[in-house]
Amino acid sequence: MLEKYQENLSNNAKKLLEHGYFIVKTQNKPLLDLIRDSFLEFLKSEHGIELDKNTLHTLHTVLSDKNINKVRMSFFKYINKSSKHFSLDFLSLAQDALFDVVGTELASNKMVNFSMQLPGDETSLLPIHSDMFSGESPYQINLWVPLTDAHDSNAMFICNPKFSNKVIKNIRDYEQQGLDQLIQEHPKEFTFLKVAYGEALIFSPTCLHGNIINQTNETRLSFNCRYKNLYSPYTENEESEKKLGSFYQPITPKAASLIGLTFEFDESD
Amino acid sequence: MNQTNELRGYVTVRRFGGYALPVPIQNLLLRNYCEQNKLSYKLPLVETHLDDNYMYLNETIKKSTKHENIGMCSIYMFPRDKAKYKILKAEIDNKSLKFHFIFENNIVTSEDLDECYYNASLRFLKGMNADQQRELGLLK
Repeated sequence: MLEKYQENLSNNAKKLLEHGYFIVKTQNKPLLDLIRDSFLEFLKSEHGIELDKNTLHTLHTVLSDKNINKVRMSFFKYINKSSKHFSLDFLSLAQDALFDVVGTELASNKMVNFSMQLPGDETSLLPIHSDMFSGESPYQINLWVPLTDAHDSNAMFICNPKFSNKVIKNIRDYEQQGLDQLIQEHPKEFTFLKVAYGEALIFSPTCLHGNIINQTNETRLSFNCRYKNLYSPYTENEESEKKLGSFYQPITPKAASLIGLTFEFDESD
Repeated sequence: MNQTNELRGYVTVRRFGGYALPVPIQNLLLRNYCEQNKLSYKLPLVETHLDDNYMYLNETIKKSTKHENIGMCSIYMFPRDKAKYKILKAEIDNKSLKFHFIFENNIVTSEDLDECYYNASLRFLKGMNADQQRELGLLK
């Protein structure tokens, strides 16, 4: 696809095109450590749960099923309010990588999502999907960062672009049976992504991805946020909220954009 | 947990019954409904933006266990295509599911769903032919 443009791309960009993802070391480890400490403090002060950075993956041993969503939602709100632009702070965890593959003038979704996958927990499952199913822009890239080591069934899976495109082009054929059986029918097309604490996963949500029931004995905690070029297309569907202002917000407009946005001609007769 | 005090959500990015409601708002309504009715909320599947596609409604019903509660904003989130509705209904009957429609303020068992669905479809009638009227029981 558009091969002539690919020659000058970085290795990470080439991986993104070929596999749908790449993994880098986070470039702002102090911030990641601070986010983890915030969660530990939040668990202690708001929910009376005492863990430390070495035992965070055992959260499932001290958190009851009925409180999973309560803890998740409350920390999601808390961390997104913790700074004026948490999605911009979050970007700093892998800014160079995102600037490389998306550009420097970015929009992001308004809130950074927070996921908790406890062993055996079905309630937080994200079944196989592409973010395009809900009308999000195919020009966006997702940044996914774990607070605990992600591996095997506590990690997310992704299908490569070739397989994903083949399924998505014929998505109407799956209306009744759904997509879940694809993992049994085409197991080699599913890659469970090993991402350690301190690493960041960058992937294209045009690829099929999701998670399965966590069959490890470790809780997985992670954040994710979507970033796209500010001027790349948004959905044209009038009734969709996946637009700038409602779902996306500008986060790194450049001086030229700011000049253009405020420029006015004299329109008087 | 007892499934009768859980409610599985279903939301859509598409217009339904004349409404276009962002998914977060639909979620808020369902969550609020669960709090008021002391139900535990199971995160919903989000229907695709493709016209007349019900992949995730099919999936929601398939994943449901017997006698489960399903919550959605409106009966108008069901397919208008009656063939598609009938396929869903067969599985709904099989599992004796119960639906909670927030906008219509109605809790509907699988036995009563046909009446609810066909009454709702009256809104879309435009000069029906005789066969269509018979199907809806409007002609003897």
